[in-house]
Amino acid sequence: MNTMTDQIVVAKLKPVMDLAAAEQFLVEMRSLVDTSIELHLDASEVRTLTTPCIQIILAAVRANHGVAVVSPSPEFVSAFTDLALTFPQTEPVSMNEPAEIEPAQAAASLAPENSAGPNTQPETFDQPEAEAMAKRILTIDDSKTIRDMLRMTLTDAGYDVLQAVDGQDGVDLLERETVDLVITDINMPKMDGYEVVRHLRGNPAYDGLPILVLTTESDSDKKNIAREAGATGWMVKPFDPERLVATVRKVIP
Amino acid sequence: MSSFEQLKQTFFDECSDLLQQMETSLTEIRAGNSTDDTVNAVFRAVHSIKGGAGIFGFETLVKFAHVFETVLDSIRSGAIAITPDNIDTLLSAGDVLSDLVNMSRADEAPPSDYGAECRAALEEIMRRNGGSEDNMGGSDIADDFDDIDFTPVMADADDDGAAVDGPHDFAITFRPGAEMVKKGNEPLFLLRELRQLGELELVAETDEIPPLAAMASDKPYIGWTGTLRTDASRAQIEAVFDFVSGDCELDVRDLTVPPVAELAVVASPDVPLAPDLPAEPQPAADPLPVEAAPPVPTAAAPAAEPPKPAMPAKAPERAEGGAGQAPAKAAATTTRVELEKIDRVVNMVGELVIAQAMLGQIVQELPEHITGRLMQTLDEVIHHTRELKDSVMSIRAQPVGAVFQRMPRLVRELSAKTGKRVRLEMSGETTEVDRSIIERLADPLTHIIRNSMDHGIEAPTDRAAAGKPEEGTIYLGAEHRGGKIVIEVRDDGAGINPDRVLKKARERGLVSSDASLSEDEINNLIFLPGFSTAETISDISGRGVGMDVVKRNIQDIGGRITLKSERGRGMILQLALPLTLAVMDGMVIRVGRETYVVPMSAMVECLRPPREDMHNLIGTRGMLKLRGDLLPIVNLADLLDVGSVLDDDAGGVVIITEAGDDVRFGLRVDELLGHQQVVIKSIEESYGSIPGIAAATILGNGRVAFILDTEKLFEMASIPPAMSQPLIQKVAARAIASAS
Repeated sequence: MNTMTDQIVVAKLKPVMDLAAAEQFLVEMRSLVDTSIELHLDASEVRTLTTPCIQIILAAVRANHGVAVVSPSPEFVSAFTDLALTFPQTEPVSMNEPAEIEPAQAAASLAPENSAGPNTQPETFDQPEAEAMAKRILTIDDSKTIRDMLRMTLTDAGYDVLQAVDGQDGVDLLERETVDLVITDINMPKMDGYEVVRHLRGNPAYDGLPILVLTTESDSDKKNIAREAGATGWMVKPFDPERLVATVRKVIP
Repeated sequence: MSSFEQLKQTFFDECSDLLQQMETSLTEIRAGNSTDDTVNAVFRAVHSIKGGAGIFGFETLVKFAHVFETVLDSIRSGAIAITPDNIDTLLSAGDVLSDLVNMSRADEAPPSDYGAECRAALEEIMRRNGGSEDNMGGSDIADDFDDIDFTPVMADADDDGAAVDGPHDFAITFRPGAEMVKKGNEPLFLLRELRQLGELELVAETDEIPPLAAMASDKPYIGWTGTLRTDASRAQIEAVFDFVSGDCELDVRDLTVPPVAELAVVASPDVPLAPDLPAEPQPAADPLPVEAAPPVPTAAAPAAEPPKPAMPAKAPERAEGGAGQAPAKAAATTTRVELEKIDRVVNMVGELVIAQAMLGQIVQELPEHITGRLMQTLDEVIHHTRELKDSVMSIRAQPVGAVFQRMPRLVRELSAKTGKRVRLEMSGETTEVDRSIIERLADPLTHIIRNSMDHGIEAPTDRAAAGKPEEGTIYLGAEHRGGKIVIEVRDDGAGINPDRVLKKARERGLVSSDASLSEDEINNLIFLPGFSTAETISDISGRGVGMDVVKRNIQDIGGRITLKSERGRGMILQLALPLTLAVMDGMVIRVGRETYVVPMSAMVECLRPPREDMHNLIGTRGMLKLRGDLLPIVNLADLLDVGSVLDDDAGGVVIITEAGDDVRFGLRVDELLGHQQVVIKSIEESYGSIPGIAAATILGNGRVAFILDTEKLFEMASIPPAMSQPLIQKVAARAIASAS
């Protein structure tokens, strides 16, 4: 089906292939795909895969028919399936079929922790469950009641929770900590929720970071202001725990 | 305690702070010094209370807070001006809110019409200022509370009828917008959620994915079309895309509904719900807020955006102001600690102080060649212990504002009850004092204010007749003065009527009918037990609790109360209180073979006066000539009846102490032993109150020493008050000078 070259490069995909990983992945794929080599993407350790990286894979496949996926993890498969997409798959290169290349660097550049040879079997590098790390959520609210309520509920749901007491505090904290989701109140002293959103959206480092705002009103004005500012979504107080978690799962499953 | 109960506790703790904040800001608004930020602070407080109350289902509280908040919101956005009428309504709304919180805290269900009058007034404000009733919620607030929205969505009714006859097929087109992923929404998650609603058949359109070279890593290029067979309503489907409705192209079309009907619905989105339609059964499990689903099926981005109100433009401005003043008050980062834990630390510091004093004693008894470095280290320990004590005390310290804040409401209520017009002025609310004192200050202070309102301030007509402004003034102030906190309550009322007081005191047999008393002495009769001067006992202050109780309360916490009254002009009550009840600085002294401690806060200076400056005037008391003034002096040994080794008028040390404002006298003792921190151990519980003794402490040698109460000593020595007044002393000094 494809023009077999005598070179096979195996590149191992990282466990988390989300928006944050996309830029680097894109750059690396640009440099790899143009060559005439056969590129095998080892997807055995992918735990998270979202649209931005999927698009890159699809574009790579389109550009070079030698691109194929090896040993896709269930998460990898289901991301494609759920988006109604397919990907070309190939069998892992067997051990005794020597691969004669120096693309070790290429592979390593995609998965720096894996500096071993290109044709090694996935299990050699099997890392301890990458997903064991709980997702971290920053909650920003000037009301301790709400903060505690959020912490209780989210901790029970298996998330790590950081807290900030107002917008400024939250923004400061984000400069030291990395989180997967920000939940912020709107009416707060010092820096209100809209400004938190504007501040974060004004900084490319936070691109793709989901931000949910808390509002007590079913007032669509407030939601629209928040949305315009760049909020990912909102939650209406008072919330029951179930609904809260459901909303969180909507942005960080 | 379950975590839910704990959360509830947190809520009420927080409410206390918020209510106080609200009260402060409302008071500022009333005083006319409100800024945008003041109104904002009230709004935030009410808003937070409402938010928390919602969690626990305090419905009446939520409803009231909602109306209150709506009015405040309009005020801060400038839609409603602050007028005197409005202020009164806001103040009473604050009171109602506070009551509702307290009822919820006490687990009482407030009557659902509690504060109805005030709520009506708030609604009236909105109406008068053209605020729409809808906005206000009015009677619909209950529904708002339940979070069921009223704006949705024509399609609901339509879908609903259809839902009865089985699943529908929907055609769905979804194309993410450029910003969607950057804003944290992921098509994959949305489509997965959509899949949960039913059977989803999707086709991805990948044609627009550019070559790698032209690709931006953060833009979505894929779109989807498909069909969904589901029991869910269109609104539920659209709710899945709720968060991205401005950031994507979305088309949801019900294939089961005949195209004509569909068309009709789309064409007339403003037709109100027909009354005979079945009530909208919002599925209980609805996982998402439905209300923001765009009412128009094709959620083309701009069309869904309502015109931008003035709000967002104002927001940054407000926050800038916010960085200025108020937040400084709303302390940056705080943590709540149980009082008990702090008390444990306080106790340990106390023990540490004693142990350290003992160590000091031992070190002194060691041979000198050993003690050099030891002393140095010990000094450091002493220094650190002191800082430790100060830090712990400052943790316990609270601004007296915590108590003061209750007073504006009291005055308002009493004003309403008595028809007297009173303005309450306060200063020094930030003065800090130990929490244990704060707690025991509330009752006496409340009583004093009640008293001023009831007996002090006159009715407006009487005031006018007396040539005073109709509005009376009560001033409440606090300040640190000489290691104490002095709280002053001043009113410009009628003052004490000595004739009436004396008459009453005689009627009650409190003074013999032939006693002749100075006006000051008469005024102080009101502190006698069982004294009440109001001609008729009102329900405000004449409740059998008199000023005697106030005095006792203040004395119990080691304070003293002084009264100055000027007939027709008003009166001043001063409470001087210790800053803490646990540890204090003291001077250890020796008299004969006894050791005592004099509180440093009561000491002005110590000196060893030359014999010729001491004048024995009468018996054990004498006068001391000090820099031209004459001060009364008292022999402590005589006063406490312990043997002294001193001559009658030579040797020893005189401690000049302060027993009140401008009241100074000398205490003659044998020897000063040193200055140290002492832990105050109350003896009252075991031994009752002993004249001249305030408390006891444990010294470094392990012995118990009494802490002297200089004010009481002064009374015991019964030095005529006039003698200790500076003016009289000057005159006396001159008289002595000319005689010699």
